[in-house]
Amino acid sequence: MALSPLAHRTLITADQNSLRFQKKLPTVVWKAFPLSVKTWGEESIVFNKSSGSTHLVNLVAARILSIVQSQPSSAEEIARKIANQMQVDLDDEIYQRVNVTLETLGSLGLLEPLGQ
Amino acid sequence: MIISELPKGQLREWLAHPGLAVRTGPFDFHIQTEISELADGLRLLYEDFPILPHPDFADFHIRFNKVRSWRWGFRPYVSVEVDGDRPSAPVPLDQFYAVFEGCLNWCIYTYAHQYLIIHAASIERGGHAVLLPAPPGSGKSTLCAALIHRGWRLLTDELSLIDTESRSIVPLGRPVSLKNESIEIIKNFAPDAIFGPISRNTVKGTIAHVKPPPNTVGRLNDHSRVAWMVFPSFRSGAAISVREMSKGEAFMRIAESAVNYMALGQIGFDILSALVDEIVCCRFEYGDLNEAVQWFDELSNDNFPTVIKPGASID
Repeated sequence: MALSPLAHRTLITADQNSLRFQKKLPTVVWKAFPLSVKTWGEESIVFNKSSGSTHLVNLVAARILSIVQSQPSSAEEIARKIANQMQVDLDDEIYQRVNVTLETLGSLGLLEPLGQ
Repeated sequence: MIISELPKGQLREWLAHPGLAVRTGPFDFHIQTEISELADGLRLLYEDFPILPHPDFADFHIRFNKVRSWRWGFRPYVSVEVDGDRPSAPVPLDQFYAVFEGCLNWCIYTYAHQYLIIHAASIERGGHAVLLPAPPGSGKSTLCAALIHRGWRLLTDELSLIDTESRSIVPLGRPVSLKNESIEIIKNFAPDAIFGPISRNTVKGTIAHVKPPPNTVGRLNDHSRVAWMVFPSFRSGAAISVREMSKGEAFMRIAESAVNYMALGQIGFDILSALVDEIVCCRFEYGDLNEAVQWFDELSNDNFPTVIKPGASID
């Protein structure tokens, strides 16, 4: 029996925190596609209402999505809010992780730069 | 009227013309064929299923024709037609019964999008249903066949239909499909099990179907809430190992097993989210059928057996 596979299935983990997207300009403002999110502890399932794709994401990615869903934001704004939520000082590591995760979420079609 | 009440000759006659309308759970299939082998299979495996008086009102109209061609050395083949569509290429006559069951499945997973359809077996005991989703070869149907011969009620073997409102399982109650060595395993495990025609040399090997136990067909309107989702895998000689899955992992695994999750879109996401909220999901490795049945017995006693929690280390 032929079964339809999910079009996209992604597990975003901290391991993907590579530096390959660092060249991107940090001034980009990101907006979210229409999403439904279900959270259990540190895991969230994100359903993209536009494309029908479903993704399993970690805590940081879920927080970023939540911030961008409520208001289009730049990487810097998001990083500040994340640091605030986690009650830590904003440093390069948080900033880079946010940047990389934003690019990953963008490549998955969950976010896109404003104006595109 | 049920199939066993029809005299053998009449069953064949009705199948030839005007066709037989059989109800399996929520679906009515109008089956028409002059191939007598189907009557034998239906009499063995579907004898308790109801026949409808008006075939025209069936949900699906299926026709099987015997065909011969020089391409197959003039050996008899069977062609399949469902409401003018051809879901399969012609198959050798001796593989006919497996194709018949596959054709009923095709109708359901192609058209029945009023349900969330999960590629899974389901069983029930004490009002609690267990979903057994797994890829082919994982021992899902073998386990299902064993459990229904040890007091569990068969809801379905191949396709589990989840009602989009109540999230309960809508039973189909059709025969359990076994492949290759599983056939002998169940013959030894449950000597009273009734087997239908055997289809040899199919793309999946040898296939035989087991008749649903007597408590199945009379309760097809009795829907069951899912309590557990167990992903079985068989490994020869392995001791029972049960590991609870995180909700996120369980969601993704079930979505992968759902035939029409993508087609249902937001509805599929909402049903699965709510379902995963309500149930316990675990991976279940077993190497001995008797031990596996014993574990499921504990499950049905409302005494949830020991499982390894998500994130715990395995010693």
